[in-house]
Amino acid sequence: MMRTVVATVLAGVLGATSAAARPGGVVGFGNDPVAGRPAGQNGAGLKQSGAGAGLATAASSLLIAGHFLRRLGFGPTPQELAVLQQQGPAPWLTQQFDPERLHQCIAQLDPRYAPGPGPQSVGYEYAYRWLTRMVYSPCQLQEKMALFWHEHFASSVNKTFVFIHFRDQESFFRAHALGPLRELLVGITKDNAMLGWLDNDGNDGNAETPPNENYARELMQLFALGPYELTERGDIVFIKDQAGTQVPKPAYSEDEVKALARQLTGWSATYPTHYDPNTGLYNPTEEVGPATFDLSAWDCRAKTLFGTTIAENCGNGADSTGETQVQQAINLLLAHPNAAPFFVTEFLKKFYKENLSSPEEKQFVYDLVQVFRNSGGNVAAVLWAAFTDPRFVSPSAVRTMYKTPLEQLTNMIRGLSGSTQGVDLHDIWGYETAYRIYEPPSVFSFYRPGRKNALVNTALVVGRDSAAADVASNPPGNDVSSFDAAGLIARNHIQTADQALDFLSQNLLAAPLTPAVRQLVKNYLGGGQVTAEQFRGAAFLIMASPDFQVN
Amino acid sequence: MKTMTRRQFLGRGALWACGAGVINQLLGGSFLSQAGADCLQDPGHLSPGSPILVTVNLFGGNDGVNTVIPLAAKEFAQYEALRPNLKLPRRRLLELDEGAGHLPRVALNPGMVDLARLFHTDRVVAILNGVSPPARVTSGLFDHEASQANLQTGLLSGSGFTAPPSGWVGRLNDRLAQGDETSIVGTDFGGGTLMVTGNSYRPLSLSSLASFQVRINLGDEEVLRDYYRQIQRLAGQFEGVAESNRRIRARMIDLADELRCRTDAYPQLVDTYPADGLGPVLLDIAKLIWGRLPIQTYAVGLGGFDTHANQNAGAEDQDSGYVLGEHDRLLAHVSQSLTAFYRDLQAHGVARDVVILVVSEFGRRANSNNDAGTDHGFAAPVFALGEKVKGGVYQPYPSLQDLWLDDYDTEHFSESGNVKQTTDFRRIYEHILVHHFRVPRPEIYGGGNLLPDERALGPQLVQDFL
Repeated sequence: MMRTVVATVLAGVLGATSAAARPGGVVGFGNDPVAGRPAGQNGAGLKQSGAGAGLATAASSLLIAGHFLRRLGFGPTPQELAVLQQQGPAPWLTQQFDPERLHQCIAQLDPRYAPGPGPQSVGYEYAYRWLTRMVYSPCQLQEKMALFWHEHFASSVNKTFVFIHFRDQESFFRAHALGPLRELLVGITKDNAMLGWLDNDGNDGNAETPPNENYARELMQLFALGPYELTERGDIVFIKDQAGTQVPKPAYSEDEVKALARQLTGWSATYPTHYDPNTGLYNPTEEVGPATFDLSAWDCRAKTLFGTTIAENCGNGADSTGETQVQQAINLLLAHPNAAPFFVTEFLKKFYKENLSSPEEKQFVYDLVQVFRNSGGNVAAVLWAAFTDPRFVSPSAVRTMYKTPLEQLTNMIRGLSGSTQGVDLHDIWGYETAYRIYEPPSVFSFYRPGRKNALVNTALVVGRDSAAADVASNPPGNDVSSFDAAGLIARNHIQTADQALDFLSQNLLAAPLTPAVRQLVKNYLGGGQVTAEQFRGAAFLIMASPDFQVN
Repeated sequence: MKTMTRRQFLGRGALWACGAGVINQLLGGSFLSQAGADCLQDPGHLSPGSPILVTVNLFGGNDGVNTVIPLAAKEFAQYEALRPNLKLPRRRLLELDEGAGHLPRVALNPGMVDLARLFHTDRVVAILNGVSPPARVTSGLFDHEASQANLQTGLLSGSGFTAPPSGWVGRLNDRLAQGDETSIVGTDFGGGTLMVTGNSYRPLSLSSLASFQVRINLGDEEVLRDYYRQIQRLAGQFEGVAESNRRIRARMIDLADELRCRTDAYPQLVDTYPADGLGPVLLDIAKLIWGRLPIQTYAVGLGGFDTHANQNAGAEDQDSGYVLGEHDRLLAHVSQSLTAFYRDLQAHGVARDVVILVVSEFGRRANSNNDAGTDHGFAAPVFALGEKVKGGVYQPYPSLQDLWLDDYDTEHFSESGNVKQTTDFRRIYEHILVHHFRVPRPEIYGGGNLLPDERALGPQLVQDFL
C-alpha cells in the first residue's frame, strides 16, 4: 500500500517521465560536472534556466523531502522539511554542493561544536563533537560524505588511542567531502591515523624482512579497486578456474600487493610528545604535524603494477618528500578500469539501494560509470548526477533501506529539535549498537558493503531500542534532556493524541504512520491533554516501531 | 634502518593491526531479569545425548606457527631463522607428548598453560595440524572477508556470492530445525552469524543473557513495554526492511524472558572464567546447556588475531620467568576460557555431548616482517576439545623447510613463504558431522548439501580425532 502512495506522489512531482530515459538522467537540474553546480554562474542559473520540470518549482511531497534529508543528511528537521516541501529539493540540493557554502561550514564554527561539559571521557569528546556537527550543520551532505569517507577508509582509534589523529582525519574528510578522489587517496595514504591502523607506519622497504603488506592490500581491496573485477554495470566478472568452475576474477594479484607495499614504504606517523602516565593515553589536545617520509626506508627498486613498471630510482633523483612515490601508486590505481565501477557501486549502495540487481539498477550504475569516466573521476559530478536522477527518487528507493544506528540517533534528535547534550555516545549508542564514530570494528567498517542487515539482529535491536528509550527519557538529575517535550507541545499547540501523532509522524518519519501502529500509540496516549511524559512515551514507541527503522 | 615506533617504546604494543576483529559484543551488563517473570513460553528441552557444537572463531587469522611450534631440531632451527624478531624461547614452550599417531613432536605457545595441562590430564584436546582450504582453487586465500566466508560456509568461493550464502553449521541447523520457524537450534554469540545461518534457518543472536531485554527507563515502564510488544507483534502490516525489523524484534521479545528464566537458577561451580572476552560468553553458553535449551550449535568469536605488527609486544624471557607478549596473552585467554568452560560443563555433568572447535580464517606467513609481525598466510592448526575427543596431535605438521614459495618471494627475499596444507578443512567439518552429529557420510557430499563444494577434495580423510 505504501508503494502505491509513493508512486502516485512521485508521478505528480516529477511530471514528464521522458527525462528518465536520458543518460545521466538529469531532471530539472542543470549539469555542471566540474563543480556539480547547476548551469549558470552561481546557482541562480537553476531558477533562470526554466529547467526544473517538476522538481525545481513545484511543491515537493513530504516523502521526497524526507528522502533527501535522510539519505543526503542526517534526517529532517521541522524547518528543513517545510522548506523542501515548499520549494522542492533542488534549491537545498544546490546549496549542498555550493563550494563557497561548504567552505563556510568549515571555517565558521557553530559554538555548539565547541568543547563543553559532556558525558564523554577524554578523547572520545572529538567523536561526540562530530556527532554534534552531524546534527546541526547546515552542510548536511558535507557531513554525510565526511562520514562516508570515514566508513570507506575505515580506521579505528581503539588501536593507538591517538585521538588527535582521528580529529585530523575527520577534518581531512570534511575538507574533501566532495573530492577530488585523487587527493583523498593520496591524503589517506599519508594520514597519521591510517598509518597506525594499517601498519604502514615505519614500514621499512630496505630491511632484511619483507615490508608489511597490510595497507597495500587494503588500499586495493577496500579503498580503490575492490576485490573483484567488475563490469561497467557493476557485476562481478567470473572466470573459469582449472577445474572449469566459475570463480570471481580477482582485481589484483598477490604480486601487486607486494609491489604496492614496497612502493609505499618509508612513511612514519607523527605522534604527540606528551602522554598522561595515569591513563597511558596521549594528550588528546596536543596538535601534531603531518606524517614524515624517510627516503632511506623507501624501496627504490623497480616495481610492476598492473603491467606498468615504476622505474627504479635509487640515485639522487628520488623525491625526498615521498609525494611523488605516493602519487605514482595512486595514479596507477585510478587508471585501473575497476576504479569507476567500484566507486560508483559504493556510492549507490550507500545512498540509493544496497542491492543493485535489476536491469534498471544496473543501468544506473552504467550511467554513473560514464559520468565518472567522462569527468575524470569527479566525485561531485557523480553524486550530482546520482541525486538529480529520477531513479534516485523512484518508489523502490524511498524508505526501503536499513537505517544505521547513527542515522537512527541523529534522525531522532533532529526530528525532535533535540540536543546532543546528555547523549552518551560512547557508552550507550556506540557500545550497544556497535556503531561508534571513530571505531569501526573491522576493515569492513560497521558492516560489510551491501550488508546493512547485519546491523540488525536479535542482540543489536535490544541495544537500539534501549537507546531510543534513553533518548526519549528525561534522565533524572539532568536538566538538559535530549529533547524538550514540554516545549514542543507548547510551541506546536499539541493538545490531543491525534495532534501529537501528526507532529511525530511528520517530523520523525516524514511519512504517515502505518495505521495499526498509529492506533496503538493513540491508545497509549488516551484522551485529554497530552502530557510531556506521554509525549516522550509516544516518541519512544514510534522510534522503536518498524516505521522508523527504514531510511 | 628500522626506527623504533612509539608503540614499541611505550611497550603498549599493537595487536589489533588491520583489525578484521569481530565486534566484541560483550556488554557484561548487569541487568537482572524481571522479578517474578515466569517461564511461560517453553521452547522445549534438548533431549539427553543430543550433540552440541561450539565453534570458536579467532578473527583475523591466528598465527599458527607461534601457536603450535615444531620441536624437531632442524625444524626449530628453521623456525628461529624465519622469525628473528618474533621467535619464542625454546625453554618456555609447552611440550606435548605425541598422543595418537607418530608425528613430529610439537609444543604449545607458553600462554596456553591450561589447555596444555588439560591435554595431558584428561586427554580431551586434539590438535590438527596444517589446516586450510586447497591452495589452487580457493578464492580469496589471503583476504579476510573471503577467507572468513570460506571458513564459515565450508565452500571455496570466497565472498563473490551470487545467491544468499549459508554456513556449514547453518545447513546442519536446517536439518536439525526441520522447518520449525520458532527453532533456536543455532545461536550466534558473535562468532560469525553466517556460520550458523542455513538456507532457511535464521540464527538467534545474543551478546549476553543478562542484557537480552530492552531497557525502558521511561514513564510507566510496564505500560510502555506492553505497547512496545504489541507493535512488534503486528503481523502482515509491513514489508521489506520494516518487516524484517519487526520479525527480529518479535523473536527477541518471545525469547528474552524465557532464556533468562531457564538459566537464572544456574549454580556457578567454576570460577576460573576470565572476566571479559570469551569468559562471560562461554559462561552464558554453559548456562544455556545446563538449562537444556534446545540449542545445538553455538558460534563464538574473539578478535585481535590480525597481528601485522608488534605481534608479541611485551614478551620478555627473563631467568626468573617468561613475560607473555600480546599474542601469547590472546592464546592464554583462549586457553583459560576453554578450559574453564570444559571444567564447568564437567562439573554440571553435561560435558559428554559438547564438542568445541577452534578455527581461524587463515594462518600467517612463516616468516615475520620488519614490524615484528606476520602477514596473511595459509595453513594453521585447528583445535578440538570435548569429552568425546580423543586427545592427541593429529595430521602431519607442515615442514618449515618446505614452504609454499612463489616466484616473487624467491626473487626478492631469501626467507619467505607460506605454510603448506596437510589437512583440508572440509574433512574436519565432515568428521564432526559424521561422528558427532551422526550424519550418514553419503549425505554430506554429492547428493546431500552439507558440504556441497567438493573441488580439489583429495581422498584422504582426517585422522580419527573424535
